[in-house]
Amino acid sequence: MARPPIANTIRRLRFEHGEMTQEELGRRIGMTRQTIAAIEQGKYSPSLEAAFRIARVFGQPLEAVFQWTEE
Amino acid sequence: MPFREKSAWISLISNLLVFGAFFGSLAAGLIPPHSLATFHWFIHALMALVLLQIVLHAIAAFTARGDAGSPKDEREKLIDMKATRIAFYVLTILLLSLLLSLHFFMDLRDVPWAIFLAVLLSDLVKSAGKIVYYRRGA
Repeated sequence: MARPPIANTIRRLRFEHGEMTQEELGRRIGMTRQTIAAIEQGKYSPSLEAAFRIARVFGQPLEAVFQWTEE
Repeated sequence: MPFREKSAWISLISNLLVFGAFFGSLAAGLIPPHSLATFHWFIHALMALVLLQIVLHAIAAFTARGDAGSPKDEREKLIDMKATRIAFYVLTILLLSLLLSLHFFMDLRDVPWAIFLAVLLSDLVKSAGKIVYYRRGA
């Protein structure tokens, strides 16, 4: 199964925001720790709503958190 | 491992063990086919399955650190949907095969067991599908 062509900076942003854990980020946006891990590893593309919620937690615009990588 | 993946493993393994033993015994002639005793053994197998699943799920929930009670997120719902879709196709194929075999060689008394076996196999496929999707990420 091909990986989604979307990169993200969630791991870096978590560490920059008080070393937030995956579990804490998941709790804040209504997702499990495992889903956050899957998003960070590029194995799962979140829905648009979830992507906006993640960006909002870090106070960043969407494209600062998620980047389209397909040529 | 998330609770829901553990639940899929529990479902897969307990169904394989209990009904594998039941249908294996039927096939080996240890349980007489087409008799009331067959039905009684089936009820015993069902009770054993329910008990096994309750105990194993309770243990999994206890060790899940609050994971068990939380609502499904979008990825878990997607995994459910994908696995259920595959299981539906499997069930459809098995039931159509059953209909065909009725015309050619099947004993009518075996039909209820064949239907149950089709449902069981599709449930096994659903559990296996969930496990694969959880391992892959979605």
